[in-house]
Amino acid sequence: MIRTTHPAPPPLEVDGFSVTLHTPNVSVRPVDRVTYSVEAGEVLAVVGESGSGKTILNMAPLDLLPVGVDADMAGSVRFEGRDLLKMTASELEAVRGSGIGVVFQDPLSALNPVRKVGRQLTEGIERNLRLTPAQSESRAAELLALVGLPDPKSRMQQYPHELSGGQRQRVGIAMGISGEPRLLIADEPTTALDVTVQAQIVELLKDLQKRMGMAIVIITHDFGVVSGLADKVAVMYAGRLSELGSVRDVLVGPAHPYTRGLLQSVPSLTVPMDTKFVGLPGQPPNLAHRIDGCAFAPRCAEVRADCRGHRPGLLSVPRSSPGHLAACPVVVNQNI
Amino acid sequence: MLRTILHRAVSAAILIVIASVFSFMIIAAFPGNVAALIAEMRGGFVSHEVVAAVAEEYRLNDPLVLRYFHWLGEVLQGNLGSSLRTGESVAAAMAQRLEPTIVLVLGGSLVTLVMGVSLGFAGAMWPNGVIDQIIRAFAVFNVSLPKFFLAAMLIYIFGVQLQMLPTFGFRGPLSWILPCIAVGAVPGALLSRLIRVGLEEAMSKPYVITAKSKGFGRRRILFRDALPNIVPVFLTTFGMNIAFVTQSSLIIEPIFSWNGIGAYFVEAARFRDLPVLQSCLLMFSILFILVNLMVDLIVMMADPLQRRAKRA
Ligand SMILES: Nc1ncnc2c1ncn2[C@@H]1O[C@H](COP(=O)(O)OP(=O)(O)OP(=O)(O)O)[C@@H](O)[C@H]1O
Ligand SMILES: [Mg+2]
Repeated sequence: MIRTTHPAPPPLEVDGFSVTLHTPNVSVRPVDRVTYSVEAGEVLAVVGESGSGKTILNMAPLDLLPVGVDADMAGSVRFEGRDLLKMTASELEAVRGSGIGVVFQDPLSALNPVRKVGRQLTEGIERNLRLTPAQSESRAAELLALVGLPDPKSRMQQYPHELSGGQRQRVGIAMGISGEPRLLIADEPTTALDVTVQAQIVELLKDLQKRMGMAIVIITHDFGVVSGLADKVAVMYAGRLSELGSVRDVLVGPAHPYTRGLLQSVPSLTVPMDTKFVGLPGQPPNLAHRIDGCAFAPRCAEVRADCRGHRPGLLSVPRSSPGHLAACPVVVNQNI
Repeated sequence: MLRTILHRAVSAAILIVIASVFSFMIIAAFPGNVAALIAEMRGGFVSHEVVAAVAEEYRLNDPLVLRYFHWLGEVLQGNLGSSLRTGESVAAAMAQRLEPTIVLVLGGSLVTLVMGVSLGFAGAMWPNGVIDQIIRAFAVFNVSLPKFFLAAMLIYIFGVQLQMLPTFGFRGPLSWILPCIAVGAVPGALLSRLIRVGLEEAMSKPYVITAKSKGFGRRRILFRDALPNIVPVFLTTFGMNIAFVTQSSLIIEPIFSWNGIGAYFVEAARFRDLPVLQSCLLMFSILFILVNLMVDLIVMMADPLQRRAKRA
């Protein structure tokens, strides 16, 4: 028998993905023709200013947007080769939890205030790992110990408001990984934590990622997290990728003026935890309005007249690795 | 927690005392000459002497405070006085008429509960679906109906046209159906609306997105995540509905010719039978206060935020 071996499809392939949100008042496009992929066992960090579309980019394909936000999606988002956008509601349900785990940005509102923390954790374990309630209980305690929550057994008997912000965030992380997903989407999982704990969580995620072979997409404002955990970085600006590349290429040789602005104070590859982006002067554009030309042009030091003509796509950065892309013709042409 | 319970219990007790004062005042503060009125109702020739004798009998000339405590003492011993019209003991008459009212209140509450919960859930499960639209229309239509209109319609349809159910008298379980529906349907429609809205509110919270991210479907999230969040609202409303149902008995009992306490009260009001009015009012108030107290306590027990506030 002849067996052809296809390479397994990567955990995540995002291709020309756009999201348009319709609210009663306005329609905005917070994600505009975004393309990237995450290979097995790889960690991608998504960075960018507040409102640049990081959360929408990652939650919309899973149908996990807030209730009342009506999203139109185009392009494709393939999870292990299957397009999430074409899945039926029940197919998507089967992917969530065990295929793709999620850690939410705000750990307080993400937990149900009137249910015990333990139940909220074990119910997902029961479903996704097909364990008995008793087994799930001990698994949940293990997970909570793993994310560094002391005295897990008694924590499980508590309600969310009885935990501190950091403790809730750890519960949120435990919940995201509880189904042993093959892809974890973590939306700023370390923001409410202090520096030492952040480092612990990064170590934990790294460890889990190695042991479970999990791919991770982590949204963060923290270059310490990027350098400590990620393999690749996607920089988002006004709904588009402005730069994409390996951590090494992007942190050491940032090409896009926006990335350079963010990185101003971070010249090296090893960055201490809790190194937040520097604030750039100016405001990002309002996504409800039409953007002509480069969205960053109004804030850019290297702006040229033709920057305002058409909106640039991602271009290969010369004298860098092949996968290093930046959406700035000015810089790219300079470097040739 | 214990302190809060105690606090609630004491407020309820104070409310009961206030209610008793108000009930007492019905006779004490009745406009006009109560003694003359009572004497008149007893029939015969109303002379000054008779009026004076009545005043003596009812201690109408004693100081108010003294009269109140005397009356309270009698009530506490189960003596509610006697009807001015028939002369029979009010306590005995009430005991006799208790059964239909209990059936009506419990049955009506059951109708409220079943209707409210099932329709409310169906609406939340399939928002804007057929059932949801029907409930919405039904709730608006039903709430704006006068109580007797629904009863009249029920009598007309099931009693007169279809001749399926008895519409007259308190005669076994079949005869209970229409009155209980007549009493329970309006609060049931209200409750279903409330449950529907409460569930929808809860289903828009971020923790529902979290539950979804674990792979759970809408039905499961509705029961496990949304439901616990509406328990306090539900219990409070349901408690109020019990009071509402009780109050409806005043209208519904006479319509279906039930000899319950509601009908007794209406009759007493018509004939200005003061001791009966007074006793009914006292009973209704106490029932109302106790139901509210119970609901408050249950809501407190059911709400983890309150239950453990002190411990955290
Ligand atoms: N609930 C919503 N209703 C309408 N528009 C929204 C909503 N949420 C997000 N948006 C739009 O989408 C854009 C991107 O939002 P998103 O939440 O993805 O930003 P983000 O990059 O995750 O920011 P942050 O770092 O603050 O979490 C916003 O700028 C806003 O225009
Ligand atoms: Mg976000």
